[in-house]
Amino acid sequence: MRSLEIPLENDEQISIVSPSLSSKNFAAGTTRGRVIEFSLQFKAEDSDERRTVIPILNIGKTTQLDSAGRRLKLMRYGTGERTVMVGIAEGSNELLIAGREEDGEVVRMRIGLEDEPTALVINDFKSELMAGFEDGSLRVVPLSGEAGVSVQVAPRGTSVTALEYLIGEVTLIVGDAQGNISGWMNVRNRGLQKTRDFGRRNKAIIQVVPSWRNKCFVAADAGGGFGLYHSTSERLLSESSDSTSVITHLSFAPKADGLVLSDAAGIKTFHLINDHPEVSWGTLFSKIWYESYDKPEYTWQSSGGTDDFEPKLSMIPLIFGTIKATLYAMLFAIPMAVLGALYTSQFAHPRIRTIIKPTVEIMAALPSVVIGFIAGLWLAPLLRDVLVEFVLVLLLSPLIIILLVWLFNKLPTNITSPFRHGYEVVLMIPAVILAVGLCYLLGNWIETAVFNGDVPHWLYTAFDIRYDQRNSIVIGVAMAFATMPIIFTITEDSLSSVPVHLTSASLALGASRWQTAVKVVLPAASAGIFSAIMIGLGRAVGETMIVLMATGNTPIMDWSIFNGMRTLSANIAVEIPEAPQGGSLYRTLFLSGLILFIMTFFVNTVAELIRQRLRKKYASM
Amino acid sequence: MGDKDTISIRTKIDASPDTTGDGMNHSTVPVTPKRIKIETRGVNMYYGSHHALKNIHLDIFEKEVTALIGPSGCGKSTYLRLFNRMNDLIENVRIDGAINIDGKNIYDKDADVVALRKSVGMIFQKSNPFPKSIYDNVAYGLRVNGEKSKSKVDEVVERCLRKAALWDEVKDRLKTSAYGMSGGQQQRLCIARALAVDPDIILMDEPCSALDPIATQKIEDLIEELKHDYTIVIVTHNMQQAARVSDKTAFMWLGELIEFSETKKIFTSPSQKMTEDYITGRFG
Repeated sequence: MRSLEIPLENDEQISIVSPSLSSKNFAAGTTRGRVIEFSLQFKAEDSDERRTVIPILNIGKTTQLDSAGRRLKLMRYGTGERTVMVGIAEGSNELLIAGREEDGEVVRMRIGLEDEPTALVINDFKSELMAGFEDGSLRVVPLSGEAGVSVQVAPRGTSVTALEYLIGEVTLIVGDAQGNISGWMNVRNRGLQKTRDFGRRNKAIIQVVPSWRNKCFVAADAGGGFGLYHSTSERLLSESSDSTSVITHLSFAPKADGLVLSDAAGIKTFHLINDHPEVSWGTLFSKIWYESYDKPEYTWQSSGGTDDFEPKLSMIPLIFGTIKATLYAMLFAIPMAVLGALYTSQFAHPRIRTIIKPTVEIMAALPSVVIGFIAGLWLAPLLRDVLVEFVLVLLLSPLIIILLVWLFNKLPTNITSPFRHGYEVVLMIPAVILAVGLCYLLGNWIETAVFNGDVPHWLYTAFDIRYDQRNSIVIGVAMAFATMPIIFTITEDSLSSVPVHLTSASLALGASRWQTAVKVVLPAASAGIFSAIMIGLGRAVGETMIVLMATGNTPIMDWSIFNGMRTLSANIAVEIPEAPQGGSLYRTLFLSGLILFIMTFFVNTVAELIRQRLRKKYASM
Repeated sequence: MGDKDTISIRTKIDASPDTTGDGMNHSTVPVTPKRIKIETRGVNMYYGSHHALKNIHLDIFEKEVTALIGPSGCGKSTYLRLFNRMNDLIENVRIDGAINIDGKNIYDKDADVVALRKSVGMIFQKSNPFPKSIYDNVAYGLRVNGEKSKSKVDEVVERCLRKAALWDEVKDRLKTSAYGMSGGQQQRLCIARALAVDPDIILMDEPCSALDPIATQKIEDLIEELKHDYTIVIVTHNMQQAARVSDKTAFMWLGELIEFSETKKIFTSPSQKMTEDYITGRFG
C-alpha cells in the first residue's frame, strides 16, 4: 500500500473532498478556503510473479473559493465544458460559486441563503444546486440567479444531512438526522416529488455514495453502520453495522464490485457480490415510479442507450399482451371453429364433410411463420385501407346470409329440393360472395361519406384513438387462422361422437335439426368442445411467430383493438439475442418462460377440472 | 331405493293378474270395426342396391297394438321407422309406394316431417334419455314446440309420468339426472317423454329387449293401458310378448310381409307354413 500527498500550505488541512461524477476528477476543499483539483491514474507493472499497480496523483489547478480564507464546510465540484466549484464556508450563509471556462477565465458568484446549509449537491449540467437545511427543507437554487423553490424533504426540524444524485442525475437521495433515506425526483409540472422510500437507519445519515454502474447506492450512518440500497427496486440489499467507530469516508470500487471504507481504525475493503439488484417482486409485478415518469407504471423496457439507463422489467405488460392476443384470437376463432364444426357434423352432407374436415386439418399444418409473414406484410397494410369494409363484413354479412337462407326456405320446394339434404353449402358460396361484395360497396361509400376517406385519421381526430398498422384485428385474424383448425377438428369429433340414439330421440319427438343440434348435441359434446377451445387457447398463449411478426411488439397496456401488444413468447424471441448470458435480462426472460408455463398449466388444469365435471355429467350416454 | 324397489315389485305382483285378466277379456269381447290409422300401399325400400322392403301392403287399425315379428334382418325395424320417416337420416335410401296416415301420404313432397314426428312417437330398443334431469327429459318435447308456460309444462310432465306409471317412483327426484334411474325406469321415462308431445301413434322398436323380466312386465302392462288412447306398433323378437300384448301380428321375412292377421290366429292357426315354422321355432 502506498499513500500520496496533496501539497498543502502550513497547518492547512483538507476539510472535504468531492468527486466529479462525469470525469472521475476530484477536488479537495481545505481549511483555508482553497479548492485543489486532482486526478488519479493507475499504472500497472508486470514482473515475473506479480503485478504491481502504482497510483499516480496529478495535481491540477488550485482556486481560492473563499476569499476570506475560511474553512470550507461543504463543497461540490463538477467538470465538463466548464468547471464549477460550489462551497459553503464554516459559519456562513453564503454560497460561494466559482466557474472556470475552458479558456481559463474564472467567474465568481455569491448567493446569499437565509440559513446555513447542512448538505449540498450540484448536478452535472451545472444548472442548479440543491441545498439542504437544518429544518428539513431543501432549496433548489438555479445558478442562473433566479429565485428557487423550497421543498420539505425531511420531517420538520430534522436536519438534512446527506444529498446525492444517483447515476443519471434524476433521482436525488436525501438522508436526514433521524436516519431516514428517501429518493426524490423532478416530475413534470409538479416539481420535486418523493418517489422512493428506503426506510430508516438507526442513526443520522452522514454520507450517501452512488454507484457508478447502476442505480445502487451506499448510505453510511453516524453509528458506524452502512447499507447498500437499490433505487428502482427500493430495496435494502445488504447492510453492515459491526463498525464501532464512525465512518469518515466510503467509496465504491470502479467496477462496483467492492467498497472501500475508512474510519478511525484505518481503511477496510469489502468485496461486493451484488448480482441483479434491480430485480425484485416489486419491479417484476408492481407499478414502479421510474425515473422521468409522471406516475408509477407497469413498464417493460429492458435496455437503453446509456449507462445510466434504468431497466424496466415489469412482467405485467407482457402478461397483459399475452392475454390480449389470446382473447382477440379466441374472439375470432371460437365462433368460426365451433359453428363451422356444428354445421359440418350436424347439417352438411357426409360427402361434403369428408372434404371439409381434411381441408381444415391441412390448415393446421401451415407453419406459423408463414401466417405471421402474410399477416404482418400483407394483411396489416391491407386492413388499414379496408377497415370499414372489414368491420361491415363481420357484422353485416352474417345478417345478409341469414336473410338469403330465409328467402331460400320461402322458395317453393320443387325449386329448392335439388339442394336439400346437406348440399345447401354449395349455395352458400355465391351467398357469401354476394354478402362480401355488398359490404365492400357499402363500406366504400361509408368511408368516403362519413370518415372522409381515412378511418385511422378520423379515429384519431374524433376519439383520440391511435391506430397501429399491426393491431389486434390483424392478430385476431392471423391467430384465429392458426388456432381454428385444431378447435374445429376436435369440436367436430366430439359433436360427431354424440350417440345417434340421442339425436334420434330428439328428432323423433318432433324437434328440428337445429333444435336437436343446439339442445341435445351441443350440451352432450360440451366436454369435448371445451377441451377443443382450451387446446386452441393453449396454442394461442404459446404462439410466437405470428405475434412476433404481426403485433408491432409494443409492450403497452391498452385493450384497444386498434393497438398492438407484446406477448411473453414474442418478448423472449425479441430480447434473447440481446441479453447477456447470466444477466438480469437473461434471467428475466427465463422467468417469463416460467410464467408462460404457469399460465398454460393453470388454464389447462382448470380446463381439465371443468371438462371432468362435464364429462361426469354427460357420462354413460 | 331398496324400499321403493320392493314396493314396486309388490304392487306389480298384486296388479298383474288383473291386467292380464283385462287383456283376456278385451280380446274375447267382439270388437267394433275400427278405423284404419296407417295404410301401407306397395312400399318398396332400397338401401343403395339392397332391396330391403318388398312391396308391402298393410293396414294398421286405430287404438290397437300391432306387432311386427320376424327373424333378424327381415326389415321389421326398417318398416317401423318408415312411419315417422326416421329412415330419412340414413344415406342412400330410396322409397317408393305410399304410407298414408289418416289418409295423407307422409312421403309427399310437401309433407311436414317435424309435424309428422310430433304425431308419431317412438320408443327405441335401448332406452335413450337425454343427459338431463327427469323433468327436463319429459319437458323436452314441449319446449322444442315452444311451450313456455311453467304451469302447463309442470302439468304435462306429471300427467305423462303418471301415464307411464313412473310418477310415484320419481316424483321426489324430478330434478335429478335421468341416468340415475334403472333401465326399466329409463324406458318408461322415454315413453313418458314420447307421450308429452301428444302423439296419435306410438312406435316401439323392441322396447324390452334390454330389460329384465320384471321391467318387461311393467312395460307390457303399460302398453295394455296405452292402447286405449293410442295406436301402437311394436317390433319384437319375443313371440310370447307379441302374443301377450298385441291385437294383430304381422310376420315378415327377408323384406316381405308373409302373413298379417289377428294375433290369436297367427299363433294358433297360421295360414302360411313359414309362419308356423317360425313360431314353433324351426328357424329364426
